[in-house]
Amino acid sequence: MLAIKNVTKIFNKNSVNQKTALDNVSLTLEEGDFVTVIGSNGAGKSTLLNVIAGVYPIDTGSIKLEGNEISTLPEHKRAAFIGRVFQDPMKGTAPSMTVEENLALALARGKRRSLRWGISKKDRKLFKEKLEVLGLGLENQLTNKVELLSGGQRQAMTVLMAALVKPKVLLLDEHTAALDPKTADKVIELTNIIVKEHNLTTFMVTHNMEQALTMGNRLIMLHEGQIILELNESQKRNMTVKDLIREFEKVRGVKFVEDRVVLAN
Amino acid sequence: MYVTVGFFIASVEQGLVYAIMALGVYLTFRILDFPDLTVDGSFPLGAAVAAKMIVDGYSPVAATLVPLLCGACAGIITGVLHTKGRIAGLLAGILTMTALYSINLRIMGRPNIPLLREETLISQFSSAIPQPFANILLFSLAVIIIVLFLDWFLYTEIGLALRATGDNPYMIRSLGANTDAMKILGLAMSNALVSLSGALVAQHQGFADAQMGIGMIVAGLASVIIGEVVCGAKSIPFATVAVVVGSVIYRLAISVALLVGFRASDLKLITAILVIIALTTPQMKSILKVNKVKSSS
Repeated sequence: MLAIKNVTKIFNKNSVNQKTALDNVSLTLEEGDFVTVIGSNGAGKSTLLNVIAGVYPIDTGSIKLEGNEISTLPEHKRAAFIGRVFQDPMKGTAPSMTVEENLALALARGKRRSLRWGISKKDRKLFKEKLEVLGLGLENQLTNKVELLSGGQRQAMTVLMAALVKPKVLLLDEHTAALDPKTADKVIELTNIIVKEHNLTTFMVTHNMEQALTMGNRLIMLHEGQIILELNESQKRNMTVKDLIREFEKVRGVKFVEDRVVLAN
Repeated sequence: MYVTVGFFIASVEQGLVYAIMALGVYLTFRILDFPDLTVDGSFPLGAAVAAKMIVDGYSPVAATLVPLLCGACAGIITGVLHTKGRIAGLLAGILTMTALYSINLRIMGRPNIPLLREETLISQFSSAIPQPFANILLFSLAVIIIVLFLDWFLYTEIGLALRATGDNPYMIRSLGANTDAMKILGLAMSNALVSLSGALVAQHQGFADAQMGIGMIVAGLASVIIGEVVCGAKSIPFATVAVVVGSVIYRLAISVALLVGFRASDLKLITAILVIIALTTPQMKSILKVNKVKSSS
């Protein structure tokens, strides 16, 4: 379904600040795979998601989606089949536009935008139904500007918007890291519902090891731009957070230092 | 009494015809979040093309509509310089504006074309309807059509994407819109309106002049900001009407300034100060608040 092959991404090439963010990374995902991605800061987690989304071009390698090479397409063209949620809740919605206008923008993802009226009655009904699922009362705030909403509400909306038109791949880049724990739980719950409902092929970057183990059916650990650990569903089930850290130390031969990792349990 | 009525009507006329320019500035400055200095060049471009065409015997209707296309081209050039050439927005506008100064002189063949005895849209209109109603009617009609057009366009699928491009480009790119194309489209529409305004102003005042665009962007900003202060900008229809109201108030204020003894050459300074006050008011308020908190503690 999604085949990432020998992908290398180097930032600031041929300068003193040269940094290899992805080093010959290969990974194949089947339809419906939900991969959690962990690793220390600067390991290349976000870069991996960003090269799939087309934010930066890759230096070498190929990214194929259902057999078609997508690494040469610009970001807005890849958006037709990729849904994204960012770490910053402010990044996923347009603040001075209304709730329904934001949803309408998401509903037009992958379609040719025309001079038709942006929101139809039918759309509005659909938006209300979808927003009710969130349980945040947003269905009664369709014409409110998004800037009036909290970060958690905005992030919940972004998750909804990313899957409003079913994407072939969903990319979640630490999408709960900037939220308070209670809101984060809610957004995770919503993520699980939406991913299951559409059987979405998903990448989720997280700093929460517990989350990385409990969510999804696969796990990869990145370090210095390489995949250093790959777990399948059954391996994942038998792992604890402590095992995961031991594994990391064994593979790299260095002590695991990561202040941002949440060592729940 | 007659003086005050005439004075009022003249300001309203000017306010309406310059409102078309201000609506263009609103599109870039507020919707696209792009301070576009092309305006200072595309306004006289519209005037130059209209004047030259009228002098050369083309119909006044054609001489009013062709500038729309010329202005759109100017906007496209700024847009391409900014998006494809990666030139900062302000500089891209300045480059186009500077280039247009020479182009406008080339179009006119001299620095100034008088239109006093020529047949213009204004003279055609006022042969049917007495002045000053002809001007007010003509300009109101143009403004109403443009306001309704913008109100419609900004709620279409493309219009929503255009607004999102100014509001949150990351988001709209991740939702599949080509932000470069949206910026170019917005700049083209904006400068088309600005040039149309220039074409009408030339016919209204009876001449086109290579210098008539100086400070136009600041006058446009003043109108947009005054409108927002007076009417608010809750939604697009509110905001577009506010721009028109702002433009009329601005022209009235300018006339009053002249009445109380300022020279015409002082007006740019007054306008600039007006815009500075409007733009810095939020910061001033927060500074004053901080000071209050400090002094009370």
